[in-house]
Amino acid sequence: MRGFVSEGGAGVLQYQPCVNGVMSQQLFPIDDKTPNGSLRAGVGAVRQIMLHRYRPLYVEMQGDRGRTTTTVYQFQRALGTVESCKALPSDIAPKVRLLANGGTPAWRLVVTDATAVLELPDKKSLKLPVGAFKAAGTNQTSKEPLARFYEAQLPDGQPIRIEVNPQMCSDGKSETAYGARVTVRIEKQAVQGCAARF
Amino acid sequence: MDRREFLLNTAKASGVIFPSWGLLPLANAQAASGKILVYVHADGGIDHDSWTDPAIGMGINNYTTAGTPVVRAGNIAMAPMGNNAAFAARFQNQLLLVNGINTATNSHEDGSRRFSTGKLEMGFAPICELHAAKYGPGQPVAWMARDDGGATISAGFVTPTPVPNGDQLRQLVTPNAASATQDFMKQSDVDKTIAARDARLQALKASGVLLPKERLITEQFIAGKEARIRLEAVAALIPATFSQQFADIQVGLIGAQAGITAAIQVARGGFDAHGNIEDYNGANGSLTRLTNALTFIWDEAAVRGLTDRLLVMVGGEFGRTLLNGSGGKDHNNVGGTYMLMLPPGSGLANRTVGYTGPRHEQRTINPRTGAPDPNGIVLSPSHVHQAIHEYLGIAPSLPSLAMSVPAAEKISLFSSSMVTGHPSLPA
Repeated sequence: MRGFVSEGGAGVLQYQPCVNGVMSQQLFPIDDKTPNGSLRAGVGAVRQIMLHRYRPLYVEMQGDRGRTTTTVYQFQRALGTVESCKALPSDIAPKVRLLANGGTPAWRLVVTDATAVLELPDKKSLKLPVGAFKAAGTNQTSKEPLARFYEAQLPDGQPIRIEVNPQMCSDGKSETAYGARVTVRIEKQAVQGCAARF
Repeated sequence: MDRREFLLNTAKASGVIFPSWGLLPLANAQAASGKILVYVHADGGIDHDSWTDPAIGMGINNYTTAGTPVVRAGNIAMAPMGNNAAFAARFQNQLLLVNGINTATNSHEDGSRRFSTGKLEMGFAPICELHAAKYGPGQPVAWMARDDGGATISAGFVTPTPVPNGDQLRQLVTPNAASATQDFMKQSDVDKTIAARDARLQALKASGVLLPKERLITEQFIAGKEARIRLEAVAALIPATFSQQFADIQVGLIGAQAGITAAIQVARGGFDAHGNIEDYNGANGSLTRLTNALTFIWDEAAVRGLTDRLLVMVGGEFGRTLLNGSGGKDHNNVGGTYMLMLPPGSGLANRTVGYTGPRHEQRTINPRTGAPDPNGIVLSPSHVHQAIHEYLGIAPSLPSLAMSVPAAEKISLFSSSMVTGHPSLPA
C-alpha cells in the first residue's frame, strides 16, 4: 500500500491511498498491527524533523484495506520529502523482496526472486545464493513480529549472517524512517542499516 | 494655520492625550534613522558547503568531487556554485560569515526557530521581533514578515504583520483605491467628505467646550488622522510597478523608508536538497535566487537611501551531511551558518568566524579571537544572537528571554580582530 498518513482525532492514524496519481478523499482509519508499533514510531520520527510537519506523510506499508478501515501488518518506510501522489518514488522495483542499506560507510543489500547482491563499503559487490532468502518479502514474514536471520556463504566460503529485526529504524537526518533494523555480519565485522522491504 | 497645527491646537484645547507615535510629524517619519534589520530565512536548511563553508575532497559535494576550486574574494571563501562568485566579489567588504554552528537539532521547524530566535526552546522572541519592539514601538507595521510559522512565533511584544503584495499595500494606504487604476468612489467626492470633516472639527474647536463624548470622538479622529498622514508617506513612496520577484522585500523597504517598519523578515526556499544538491545550482537554482534577493535588498536600499541603516542576516535551519546515496544531502546539526551583511565601509566585514573540519567535523574556536582552539567553544545560534543583540542594542531586559550565554563564552563578533578564516581549506 502506498499513500499518505495523517493523525486524526484521538491520535488515530488515517490512510489516504494514492489512486491514479491523486490522493483519495476518503480517510481510512488504521488498525496498527505492526511489530513494536513501528508504523506509529516511524511516522513520529519523520514528522519530528520534516519540512511542513503537519501535512500528510507519505508511507509504504503492507496490510489489508477494507471498505472503511485499513489494517497494517508491516511498516516499510515513510518519506517526508514526498509531497503528492503525482510524484511518488520509483527507486524500489516491484520485484525487490529484501532491500536494506546503511551509511557511513554506505552499503546495500538487494534481493529479488532471481538475484541477491550485497554491495559493501569498499565497493565490493558480492553475489549471494538467492535460496538463502526464500522467506524474505512474503506475506507470512510481513506479519512476523520477531527478528529473523538469513545465513549464507560468500563465494570464498566465508559465512555471512543477516539479521532483520522488524522495528522502526531512522538515521534522524534524511526525513525517512524504515520498518526494520538490519545487521550484516561477516566474520567479526558488522555493518548496520535499515530495510525498506523485508 | 495648517491642518496639522490645527489638529494639535484642537487636541490641546480639548485635553486629548495623543498616542506617542501620533505626535511624530510626517517629516520625522521620513527621516527615521534607526537600524533596519532584514532577516532572510534560507528555508529548508541551506547546505553550508554549497554556501559559506566550502570544502575540498571526494564525496562532500559535487564540486569537491570534481575538484572545482573554491571561490575566493578578499578574506571570504564561498562554494563555486550558483552565482556565489559574482556575489562574493561584489559584497566581500560587507560580508561577515559565521560558520560551524551547532543547532542541536535536525528538525526543520526547531531549526528555523533556533536560527531566528537563538534558542531551541519555545517562548523566545525572533530577532526581528526584538528589533521591532525596541526601534518600532507604535509603528503600524513594525515587524513585516513573510516567513513560515516556526521562524515567526511571537513572544508577545510585537505581532508579525504579513507582508502585503504591492497592490495590497497600495489599497492599504489609499483606501479609496480598488486596484492600481480604479477607485471605489470618485476622488473628488472623497475630498469633499474630508473637507466636511475638517470643517466640523473647526466648528468643534470654535465652540470652545467639548463634552466627554465629543472629546473622545475628537481624540479618535485625530489619532486616525495622524495614522493617515503616516500612510500618506507610504503612498508617496510606492512605485508605479513592483518587482515581480522581490515584491516582499520591496514592500518591506518602503515601510522602512516611510518610518512604519523597523524589521523585515522574508524567506527564500528550495534548500531541502535530500534528492539532488544540483537543485541549488545554475541560473534558476535556489542559491542564485537567494543571492539575487540579497543583491536586490542592497540595490533597493540604495535607491531609498537606507544603505547605512541596514543589517541583513541570513539564517538557515541546521547544517547538512556529506552527499548521500541520491546525490543529495540530509540534515546535520553540525555546520549551520549565518551570513551577516553590513553597510559598506563598516570596517567590520570581510571576515569569517567559526569553522568546521575537512569533512565538516565539529570544531571549537576561541570566543575572543576566533582562532581555532581545542579548549574553545562550539558556536551555537545563542552565541551569535547574543552578539547581535548587543550590537543592535536590543538585548531583552527580562532574564527569562535572554540568551544566557556565560560571560566567558560571549563572542566578539563585531570586533574586526575576531577572525577564524577557513582553516580547513588550503591557503
